[in-house]
Amino acid sequence: MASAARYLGRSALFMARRGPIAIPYRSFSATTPTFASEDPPVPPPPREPRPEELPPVAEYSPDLLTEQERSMYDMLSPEEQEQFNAENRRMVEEFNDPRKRAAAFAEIEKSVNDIEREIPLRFDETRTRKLGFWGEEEDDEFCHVEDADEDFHDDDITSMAHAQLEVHREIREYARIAAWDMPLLSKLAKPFTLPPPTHILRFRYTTYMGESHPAENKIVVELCSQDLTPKYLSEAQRQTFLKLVGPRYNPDTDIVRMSCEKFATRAQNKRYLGDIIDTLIKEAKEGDAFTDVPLDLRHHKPKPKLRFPDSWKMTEERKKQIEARRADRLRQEKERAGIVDGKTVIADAIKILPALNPALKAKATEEREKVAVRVAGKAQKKRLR
Amino acid sequence: MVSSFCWSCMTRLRPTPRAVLPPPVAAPRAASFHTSTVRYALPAKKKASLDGPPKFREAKSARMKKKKPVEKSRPPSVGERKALRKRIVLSNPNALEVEGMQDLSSENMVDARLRGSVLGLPVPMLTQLRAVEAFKPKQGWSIFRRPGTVVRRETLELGRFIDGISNEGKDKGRSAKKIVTGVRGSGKTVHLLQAMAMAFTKQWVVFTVPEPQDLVIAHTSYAPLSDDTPHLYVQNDATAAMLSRTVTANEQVLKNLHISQQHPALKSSAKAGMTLEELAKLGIQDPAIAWPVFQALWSELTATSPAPGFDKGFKPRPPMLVTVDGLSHWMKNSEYRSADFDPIHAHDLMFVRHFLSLLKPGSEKPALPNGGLLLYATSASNNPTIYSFEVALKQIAARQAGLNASAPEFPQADPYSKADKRVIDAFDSAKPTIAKEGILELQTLGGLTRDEARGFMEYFARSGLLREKINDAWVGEKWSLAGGGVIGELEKLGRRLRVVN
Repeated sequence: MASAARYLGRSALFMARRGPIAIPYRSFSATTPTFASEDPPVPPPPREPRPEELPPVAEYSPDLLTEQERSMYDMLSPEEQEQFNAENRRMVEEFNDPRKRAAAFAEIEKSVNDIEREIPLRFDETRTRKLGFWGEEEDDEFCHVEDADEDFHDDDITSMAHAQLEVHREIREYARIAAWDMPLLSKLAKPFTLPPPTHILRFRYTTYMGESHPAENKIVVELCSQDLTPKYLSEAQRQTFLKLVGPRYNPDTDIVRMSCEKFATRAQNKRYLGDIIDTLIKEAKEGDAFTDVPLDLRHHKPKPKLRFPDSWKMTEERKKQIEARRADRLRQEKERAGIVDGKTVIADAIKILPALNPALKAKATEEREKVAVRVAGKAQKKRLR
Repeated sequence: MVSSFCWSCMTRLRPTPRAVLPPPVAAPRAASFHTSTVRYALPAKKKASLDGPPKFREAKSARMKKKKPVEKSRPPSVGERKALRKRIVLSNPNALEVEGMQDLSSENMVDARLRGSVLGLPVPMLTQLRAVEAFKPKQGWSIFRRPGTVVRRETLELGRFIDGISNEGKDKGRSAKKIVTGVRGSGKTVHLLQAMAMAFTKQWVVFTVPEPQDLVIAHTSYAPLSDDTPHLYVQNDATAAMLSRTVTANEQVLKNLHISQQHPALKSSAKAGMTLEELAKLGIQDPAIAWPVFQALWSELTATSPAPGFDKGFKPRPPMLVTVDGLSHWMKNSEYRSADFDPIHAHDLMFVRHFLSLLKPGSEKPALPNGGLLLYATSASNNPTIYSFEVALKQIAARQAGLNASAPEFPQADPYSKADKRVIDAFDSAKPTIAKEGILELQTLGGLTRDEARGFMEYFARSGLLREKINDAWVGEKWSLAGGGVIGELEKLGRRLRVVN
């Protein structure tokens, strides 16, 4: 307690030495308080200048036009320029005449007032009607556009019928083209010739019949790897080439296929593919031969092609062959000594074997009983577990 | 509820007069179908215990019936079920005996006239065949009076070959190595059986491995061969079992042969003058030395001349037949584990290694110097798919066709397929340098010809199993149904029960 008093006393002494206390209470912050200044009174918005107070416009001359307007002005023919100048001069003159200016402004004011009277500007919010769950009161969006059939005077067919007619017209148009114009195309036809051996690349372009498609610019190139030997690559280099192209190689058809849609235009993509093939051939010739890596064909699953065997096809020759063989077999069958019949085998066995023949069995038992003495064995007692 | 008031006229509906209703007569007016008096069922008796209040000293609470303990028969004793499963029945007394069926003998082995007929296996030989486990439980021996096999083209070839090796002539001492393949039911196992039967008639020594799978599924004991070769393993029990099979089957032959070589591994137990039967029995009695005993026996049987000091009474060794049925189980890792718990490859088991090493051509003397036949069959029903083995078989076929291993069309394993090199190497046998040794061949068994199929079906009919007329049209139909005469399918068609009119 004593130490607390001493502590307070010391600060009191310090305060006393500082002089008269400016603030009767102790503030939370050490910075001196500054009060916000009063908001300055909002000045009234400047009044729109009256028509007669507007400054007069300078006398018209083509030199006063802006750069754009000037360029347009220069493009006009001289008589048009003359007309343009006259019109502008008249407008400036009218503006500068205070009486005419007042009349024009009054007219504008009047028409604005008329519009305001016709369409009064209401600022009270129109309350949005709450739609029910099914939204039955909702306006049909498709009814916003005015239908041509709204006022129908029974003097025309419906718009749907018009549309149908239009379809019909279109069909007829194409039918006319097919009948009259397309036969003429045969004049332009060129006979197919095999591409020369220098043209080993086959490029594929895709058109989507005038529609725009993201894959329009895609180019696919195919080449047969055998075409590269021996002109471009040796056999060993061809193997390297195939190792380089990896899964783009189809061993069944021996075709390497690559595609590109990296660039925006077809020409760029095609150029890129051509360059790639050049690079691959160059690399196969000069680069690492990869002789220690076997050619990887795991990407390709050979498709078993099931074909009707040629030997099964029924030709005239084969028919004769089969007939001859059948006749031969029939002949052999007739020559054969005896045909084994399972039923007769069993029937014969029944005659002989007592096990299968009850009569024989009875006889055998009879004979046996004559000789044998039946010994009635004591029946064993059934043992219980 | 329907009201009894009529709502339109608000009058009460009168009940129907009694007279209108049919009289409740008990006696039937129409003549009844039977003459006995009409009796109605007795009125149901009231259940005494559940209804009404409990009687004196009677509980009303629900009572559970006590289950009487069901009399359970004792479970079959140990091994009984397996014995039943593995039981081989070779005769059916209900089948008729086929008249004029010949037995296999050394004379008719090579008789081409018998092609297509069924030759019976001689009855005394059945114990030998049973001993080498030539019969399999699922084969249809049990439907006929006595076991017999069809003589087909391959059988005749085999007979001629075995006959040629056994007889004095240019073929004496030849050896052949064959891998028998074929579709399921094409008669691979029976082909081996026929080979065994022929070998027994010619007094050969027969070694068989009837179930190669048993050696690799970790069901028999195994141990490292020695400290020097810790990666090789012997299977003493399996070896002892094989010795036992061999001794039982070849007792007569082995009795007459005597030890002619030094056997340092067996030390004192192999004495001079011992017969080979006694030698083999050492391994049966003490499975711990089964493997050295087997090696000793093998070296004795492959000896061409006696070692110095054993000259007395040396007899030339007979040819040998070695059969293995279901080879592909030996072409992968076995279920055994090494001490480091790594899987042991089947080729590291000495037993397997020995039989596979026979496929390789010998360097100075052939694998079977006294002649003989190696017949290793694949299985089509219990067959793990092993890519490298398939490739190896293709390579054998290509080599057999005369294709050089360096040729571009020689079948090679796909380098990216992780083929097992050891498997391919095991069958990669070069052309043998010794004249009498044959190249490793692949024999593919197909279907029977129509004539053979006819003979086979006639055998069914003559056994009283098939009530059909065995004519050409019927045989042709069944031959086609059996996939071109696959004999297993033919058997199914022949034994099928059918309604006979």
